[in-house]
Amino acid sequence: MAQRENSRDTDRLAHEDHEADSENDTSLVHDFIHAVRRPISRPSTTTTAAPSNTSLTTTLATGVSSIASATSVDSVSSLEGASIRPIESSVSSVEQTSLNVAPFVRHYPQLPLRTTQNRASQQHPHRQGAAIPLPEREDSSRTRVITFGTLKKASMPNRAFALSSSSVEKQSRMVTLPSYLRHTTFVQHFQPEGTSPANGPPTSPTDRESSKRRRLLLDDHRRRASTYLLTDSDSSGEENSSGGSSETSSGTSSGSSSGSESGSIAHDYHHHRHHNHSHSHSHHASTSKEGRPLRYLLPSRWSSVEKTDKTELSEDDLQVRYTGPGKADSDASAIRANRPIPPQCGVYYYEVLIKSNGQQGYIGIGACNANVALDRLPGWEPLSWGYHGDDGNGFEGCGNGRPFGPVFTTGDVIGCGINFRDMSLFYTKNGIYLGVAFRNLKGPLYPTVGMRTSGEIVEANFGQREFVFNIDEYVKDEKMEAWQSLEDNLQKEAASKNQIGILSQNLSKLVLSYMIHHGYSESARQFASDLAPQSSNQKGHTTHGSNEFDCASMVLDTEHRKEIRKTILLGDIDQALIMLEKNYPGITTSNEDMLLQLRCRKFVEMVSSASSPLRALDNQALAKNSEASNFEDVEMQDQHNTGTSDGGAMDVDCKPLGINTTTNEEAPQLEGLGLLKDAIQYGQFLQEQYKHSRRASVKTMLIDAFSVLAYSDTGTSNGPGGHLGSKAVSREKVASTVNLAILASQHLPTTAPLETVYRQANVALSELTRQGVGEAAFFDLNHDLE
Amino acid sequence: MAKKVISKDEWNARLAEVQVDRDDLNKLIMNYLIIEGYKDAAEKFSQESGAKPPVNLESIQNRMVVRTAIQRGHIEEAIERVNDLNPEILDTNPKLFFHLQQQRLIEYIREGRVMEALEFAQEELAPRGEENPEFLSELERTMSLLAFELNSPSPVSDLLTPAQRQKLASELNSALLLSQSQEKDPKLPALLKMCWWAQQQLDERCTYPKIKDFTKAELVMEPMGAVGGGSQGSSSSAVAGA
Repeated sequence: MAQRENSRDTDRLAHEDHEADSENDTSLVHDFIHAVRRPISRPSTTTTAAPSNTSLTTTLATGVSSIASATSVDSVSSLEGASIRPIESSVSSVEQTSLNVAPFVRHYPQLPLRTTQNRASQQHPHRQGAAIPLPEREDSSRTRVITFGTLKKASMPNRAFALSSSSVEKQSRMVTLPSYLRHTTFVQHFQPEGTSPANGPPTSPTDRESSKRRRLLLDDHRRRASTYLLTDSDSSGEENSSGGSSETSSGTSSGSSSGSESGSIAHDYHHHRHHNHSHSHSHHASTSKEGRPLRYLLPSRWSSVEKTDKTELSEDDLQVRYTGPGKADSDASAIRANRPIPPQCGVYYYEVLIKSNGQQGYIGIGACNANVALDRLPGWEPLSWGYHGDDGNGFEGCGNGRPFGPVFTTGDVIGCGINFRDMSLFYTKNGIYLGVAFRNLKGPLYPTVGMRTSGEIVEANFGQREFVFNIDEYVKDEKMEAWQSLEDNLQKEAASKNQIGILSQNLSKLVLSYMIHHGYSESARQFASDLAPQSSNQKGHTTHGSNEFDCASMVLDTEHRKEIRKTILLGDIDQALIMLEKNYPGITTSNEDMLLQLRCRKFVEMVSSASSPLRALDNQALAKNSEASNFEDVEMQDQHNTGTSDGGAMDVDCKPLGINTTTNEEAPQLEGLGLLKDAIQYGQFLQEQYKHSRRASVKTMLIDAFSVLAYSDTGTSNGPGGHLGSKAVSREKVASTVNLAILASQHLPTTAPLETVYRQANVALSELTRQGVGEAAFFDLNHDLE
Repeated sequence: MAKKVISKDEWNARLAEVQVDRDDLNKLIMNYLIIEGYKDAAEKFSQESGAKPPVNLESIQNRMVVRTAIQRGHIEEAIERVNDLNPEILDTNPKLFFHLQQQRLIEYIREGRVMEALEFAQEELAPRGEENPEFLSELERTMSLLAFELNSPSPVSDLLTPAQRQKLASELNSALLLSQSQEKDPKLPALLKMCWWAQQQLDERCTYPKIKDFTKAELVMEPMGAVGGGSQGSSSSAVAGA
């Protein structure tokens, strides 16, 4: 289900994955991964694996990673050496690590097996308090550079970050939610990458140029396909068949252009929609149907398409290198991330490491919309916002900047955060908050960087790794801010209406009605009397006496409903009817559907009680059962011919079940037959009663009830739920219908008001999420109420 | 510019889809009873619903006494009791202490003890107002009660409502809870607040069945009026669920 909803973004993603795959083949790290896998006897080409097997892989590989990092290797070669050796010798460490890994897997049940496999060697649980230097591996240049600082103090247990030792293999894929987003409801909406549908077999190894060419050739197909895709529910059923694609790609290198094709279709489609629906924040929402769970992907790497030919990407698509002439402003080149930021995350943050300042360091970092020209630096164009390293200026839709922050250069880490509560953009430098640079941003927003002079290189961290800045704290603060602003608004609202305590007064009523509704009568009585001194203190309010009286009658009502429900669940419909008439006079006559259900159930009960003595003697049961089915036939044929007593409905309804003069020991079958006759008679009465009804539901109800005769020989006939396989109305259903009917007759809500409030809050918040209201991310019904 | 309309049927279907765990709601209720200090009700509720009280119910008793005193307008008694329990509470909470004194002033005025009120304000409250401008403006607001008829509506008549006492009682209650290192954020108000907030936000964006009165929780579809698009929907009310 999630797959289908995400097809648009992820087709494109899948496409880019395939591109990236193609360049990995010769990588040393690729070999390294295989080396890690081999000892645990997993053929690297399997596409599906038993869950247990996979988790073992995860565990082992994670163990390996942690060992590798613990040994703090400094060079590529020693890293590889160190990483393979500990596998056999580090069982205890592996076990320890597996405890840490478990939460991730549990947390994101959508996580596909193959992704776990792929990422296994990268997932690394954060060790509390340990400052682990991160060996960084530069894949394209094969030089080892930089660590992203040291890990901050144990602010985030359970924190996962991709260990860079195996960074080549699409390190950039977002499989786990960046920890700062766990403080928001995005936890529920995060769509891990790789759970998406990808059409057909994985792409063959191709270089980017050729795939680009193919895209051009496919232009026509694309156009046609994009109209097709606009129907929005199209890509259903495209199950994720490319499991383990990265590993199997070398084996299935032929006939796979379809994957690439679909990728570009999705990509084009994406843009198509931007043109038409740019007003909508939720246009990249991954729901295909309203009301479905809302899932959103995060940007995870630079787009290999949304760039110019003046920049080059590293194999993991995280590093961008400027390769243009770098002479004039027209030589500028920007790049966008592979997908827009879902506002549903509330706050989005990414960091960019300036790996090289190049000649001039004309580097811009920020956010922009989808169609902003890419031959300009971020901020120079409308709907683009950027902070530039050479002058520290902030640019907002024009070529003239305003002083904003310090300049930045080689080795600096610039963070860029978008706050969807107020649509502002802030920056950080080397972990220090620089403040809000821009306000009134308009989405859809993509992370973007731009460069202009030769030698400039930047590398992004979209959350796959630890951030330098403590974004977790920022998000927590934002959450408190959101609550504070809610409180302020509420105060304002209350003050304007002169009703300060409106909430607390509502609360006690909600609590009381909840207790009454669910039949917690003692609690309700006690609570009502606890409330009494309060209400007696309030002048002009309901008087003490009437309040208590009111409550008492409601409690009484609760008890009646409980009794009747119990009676129905025991199958004693006659008794239930008597109680109903006694406590709620007229309710049976004014509620035809309820009465019909009760009667049908009574018939079912009669048949059931008839069939059990019939089955008592196994030897004779066979004969009797055939008799029973004869009865059925007779009954069905004669249903219109046979009249019944014309006495009042209640008389017949309340006739005791089965008049039985024989004892069980002597002739159970006779007893059964007698009961069955009663049942049939009652059935005929029902037919007579309702023969003029034209309503289909009445007929269905009767037929379903009579169908019970066909099941009367099954062993389950005495169970509380009735007959296995029979569609006859169940006791539970009847009880609930009766309960609702009573509530309605008393003008009480059919759901406890508190429960309705809960549901309403849930649905309203979901709708806000669906509409891309970022602030909704800070109000979490699941966590804030625990 | 027509606002999106979500029909009652669609909305009800979504409401019905929400998973509601009775235990979770029971916990909310229990949390409310404990935090608000309804000890006996909490005991009964624990027996009937099976929800376990997260704290020793005896500890509720003290808070209940304080709350009752406030709600009856016996502010001095409440202050005494709080100081018996833990004198640090008021020492470390100037704002809370100011609010208590303010309430004392309100009670004087309510009872028509004008001279005492003036004296009390000058001696006890004015010095605090000098320390804190926020207090000062609140003090001024309170004093202006004297300018109006007690029982006629005025810009400050909210100070005389029971809700004003309840607000103070809750504030004091939270402080007591905090001092007993119990969790102090009641969950039930949070639920209502979230619901209120979400509805407020949604109002700007679409028309949908809305809860107007939180005590009844009936869903009302806003009449489409002049703003909406075309249809003349009626403001029928219905009950959610089933």
